[in-house]
Amino acid sequence: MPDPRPRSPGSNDWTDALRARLADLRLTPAREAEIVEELSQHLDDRYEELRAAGTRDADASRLALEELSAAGGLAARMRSLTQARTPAVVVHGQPGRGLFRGLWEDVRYALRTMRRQPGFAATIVVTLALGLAANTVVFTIVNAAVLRTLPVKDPSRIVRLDMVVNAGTPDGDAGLSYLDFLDWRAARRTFEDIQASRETAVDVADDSAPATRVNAAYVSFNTFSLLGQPPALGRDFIEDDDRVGARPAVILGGNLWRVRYGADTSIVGRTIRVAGVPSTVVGVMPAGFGFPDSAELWMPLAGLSEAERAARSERGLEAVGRLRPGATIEQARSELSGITAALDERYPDTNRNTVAFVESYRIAAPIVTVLLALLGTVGCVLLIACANVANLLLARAADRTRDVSLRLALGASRWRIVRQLLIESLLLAAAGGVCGLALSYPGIQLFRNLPAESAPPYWIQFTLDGTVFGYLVLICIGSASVCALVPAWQASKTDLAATLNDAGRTSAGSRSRGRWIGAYVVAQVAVALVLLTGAAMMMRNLISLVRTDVGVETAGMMHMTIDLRRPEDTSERRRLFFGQLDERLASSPLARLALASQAPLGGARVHRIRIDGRPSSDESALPTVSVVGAGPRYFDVIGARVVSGRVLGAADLRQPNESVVINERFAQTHFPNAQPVGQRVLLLEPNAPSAQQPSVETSATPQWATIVGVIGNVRQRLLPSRDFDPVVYRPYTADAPQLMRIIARSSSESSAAVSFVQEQVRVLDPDRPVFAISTIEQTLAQQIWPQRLFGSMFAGFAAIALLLATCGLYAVTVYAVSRRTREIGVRVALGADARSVWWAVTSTTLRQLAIGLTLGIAGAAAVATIIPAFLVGTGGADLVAFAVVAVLMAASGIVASAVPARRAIRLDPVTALQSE
Amino acid sequence: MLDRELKKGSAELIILSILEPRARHGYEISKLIESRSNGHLKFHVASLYPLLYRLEERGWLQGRWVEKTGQRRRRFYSLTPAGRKVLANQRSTWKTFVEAMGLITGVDHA
Repeated sequence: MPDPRPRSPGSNDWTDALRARLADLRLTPAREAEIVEELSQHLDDRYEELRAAGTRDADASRLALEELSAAGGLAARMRSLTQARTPAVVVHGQPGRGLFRGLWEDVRYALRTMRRQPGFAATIVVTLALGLAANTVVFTIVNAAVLRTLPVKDPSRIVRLDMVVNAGTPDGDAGLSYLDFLDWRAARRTFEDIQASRETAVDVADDSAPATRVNAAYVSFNTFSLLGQPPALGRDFIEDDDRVGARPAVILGGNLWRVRYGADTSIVGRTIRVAGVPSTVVGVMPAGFGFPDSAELWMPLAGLSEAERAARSERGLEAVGRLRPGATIEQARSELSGITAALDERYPDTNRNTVAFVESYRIAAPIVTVLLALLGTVGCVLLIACANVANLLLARAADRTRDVSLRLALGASRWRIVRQLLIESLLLAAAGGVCGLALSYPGIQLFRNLPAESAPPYWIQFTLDGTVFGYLVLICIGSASVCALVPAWQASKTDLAATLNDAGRTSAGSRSRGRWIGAYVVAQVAVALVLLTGAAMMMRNLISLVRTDVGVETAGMMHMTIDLRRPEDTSERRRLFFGQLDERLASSPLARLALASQAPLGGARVHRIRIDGRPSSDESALPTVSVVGAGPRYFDVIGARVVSGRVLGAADLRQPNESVVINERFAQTHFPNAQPVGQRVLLLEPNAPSAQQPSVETSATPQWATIVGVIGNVRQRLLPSRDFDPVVYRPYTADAPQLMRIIARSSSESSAAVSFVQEQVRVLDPDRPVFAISTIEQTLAQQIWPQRLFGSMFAGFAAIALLLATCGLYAVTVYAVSRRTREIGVRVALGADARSVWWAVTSTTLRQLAIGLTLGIAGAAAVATIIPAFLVGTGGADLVAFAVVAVLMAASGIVASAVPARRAIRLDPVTALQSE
Repeated sequence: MLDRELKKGSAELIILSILEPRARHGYEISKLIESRSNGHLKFHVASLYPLLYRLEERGWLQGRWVEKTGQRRRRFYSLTPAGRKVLANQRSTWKTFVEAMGLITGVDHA
């Protein structure tokens, strides 16, 4: 406010002069008055001073006013001040205490910078997005399969129990028998409860729809209560349901209920035919529940066959237990070991050398290992991406040195400089994270839509939940820090004295920067090489698996299965059924059909075999063979090549234990120098039921059979050594299987053959569906799906790594060229030839490439020693893979540095010299 | 008159050091500068006050109206803690620069 007191006489009023000069600024009246007052006082003092020095009145005023206009004018200097417009009480931009003042300004500055160089920012975002997307996909899988577990009440107390007999020997067997389970349950103390289950598949039939095949499980009555998951409809099993002789009860799965019975709530209490047995539906589970894997129907353990329930050696069950609150896995383990030791003593025939296992409930260990390896791989990919981004930031930092120096001179602290760069990196990483999240959706969808055979158990759900999101945020922040760390530290070390130097780039700074860029390049190349080598080895393995030689022509060959495991399906009845079926199949006009216990590549039951004339030895030292029960026309249908002797025919069915046929591999192994035909062999009963053939009743005592023929190799089992397995073929009537395959070879439409078979089976028994219809190729694909899936993933990530590393090399060379444009111009002007210029530009990059390759090869060699553990049938260090990958990497690197170099050579020296 | 470029670069340092011991008002600042530099440096109104306002806006100075009995109120400027830090920084930079110049050009300084 202007001073109200009267002035001394003779003093001047400067107000008008001042206001005239301030008018341009359009100040608020209050502010203007304030400035006027302050400046008036100054002018007054000046006036007094001049007067005191003897200047005349008018001159003093004039001189004072002149100062006001000196050097450019008041208004001009005040224009940029915000303070000029408002009364100065509190001002913005006040650098206060603390680390976080001015944060918003930094963010705005960062956004402005990115807008000015959109291409630069976009490159960084895309680079990071690739790495982040890969990590998100893999972590989603790891989260679903490894970190999360059964969606039940209190899952931390759920453990998996298992028992292994004769561990490590060929007679080894894993799994629980029914009797052992009952003993375990009765003797438990650290467990609240124990349940047992066995997966199976059954035919479901009723009057509402044709019979269908359904994944199912036999479970102990306490299963759902142990898991804490009651049925959504109806009731749970009770102890009475699980007694032999009780009315058969079943519980349906939610999906089956919806699809087959139209979500009809009156299903509870209705009777349906399960595996031929009329059973009452007592309850329905919620949709999405499929314990233990993908079951859609549950039956009590009482439904198991007599053999399984009575024999302690029949180990088909798996068990899950719930620990008492406070009990630990170690305690449970020791208790269980005690129980098994007691059983060991009481039942030495069946329970010799048993070991009990108690583990937390999760997927098989090999898959966990593969998933963790995948996580490591994508982690490396992300690191390569970060190295790229760091190099880009370093390159750009060189151009901003003057900027930084100025800011430092104006009082910005080093922390502010570093912080600004970190914020910029964080924003870019956040953008990369958002893009990466979007990119990861298709990847996760792929896993959600796996085909049924390779689908994971019901409790593994691939969802982007909070954990995955949190992980993404974490690696975004981590990436931002890694990317920005070195550039920021570099930038903050800028020498202030350099600002006064016109070039604005100190040689010391750029040397250190160059070293860091070089280090990142070397690291990128090395890591990319390691990843590529691993992927290449896996792909090679995969390719050889895909090209697995079956031994016979597989085009037009299909197989399907029928199931004869009902209580009334005695051995005799099965033989009768198959005989009738075979007659009908023989009459098919469309295709050639035959029966067999397994199709080619369908596995086999493994028996021990004695060969006549060899010294008899202990049973456990006898060789093993795959055994296939074949029907008439089998050898013709699969197209087997007869090497010597004859094949089995219809006549052999009646004398099933007299003749057998072997394959070449068997002949080479056991009769390398003799003629096999005419030799005699004895097949012993198998110790363990295989997955392909569940337990059968023990047939009559084994008899010596004569080899009547040798055929070319046909693969039944996929052995690790990739050799054909030795196979013995005998008439199926020797041991009528419970699951019988129908092999079909047709040159025309395969669905016609399938319909024909279905019709023939339906005539004989309408309640038995024909299922598992597939070609041999599909069977193979199903067997090697882990290698296919994970091998492709590793290869994909390695390809991304290669792309990133190559781009990194390219960018670095471009940067080098741009920095040395003047120097190149000088060289060319002085007459240097293209080759020396090219060499000057690329020598550093090529040297870094070479170092990176060397380190990478060393790393790959180390990795190569552990990879074979994952693969089926590779032989040690895969030198071809090494060589191919190293050459590929070197070639990309050379091309990546050559392209910018070529441009350098073609530079016009005049333009080059003029550039900065 | 010293070269304008040099003066521009060091103006802030000058103001900050003048205010280091105690708060002063604008006129006092300009007189002190003139007297301490033996007349070589002169800051006119048109250059001094915009500079003071700018430094105040940055938070290196704080201006306050002070009223003494029997006198007109005056605006006094003092250094803030941030200002003191900047002063120390600029002082050392200046010292380095001057030394470097001396070494290169063979100019001796008092």
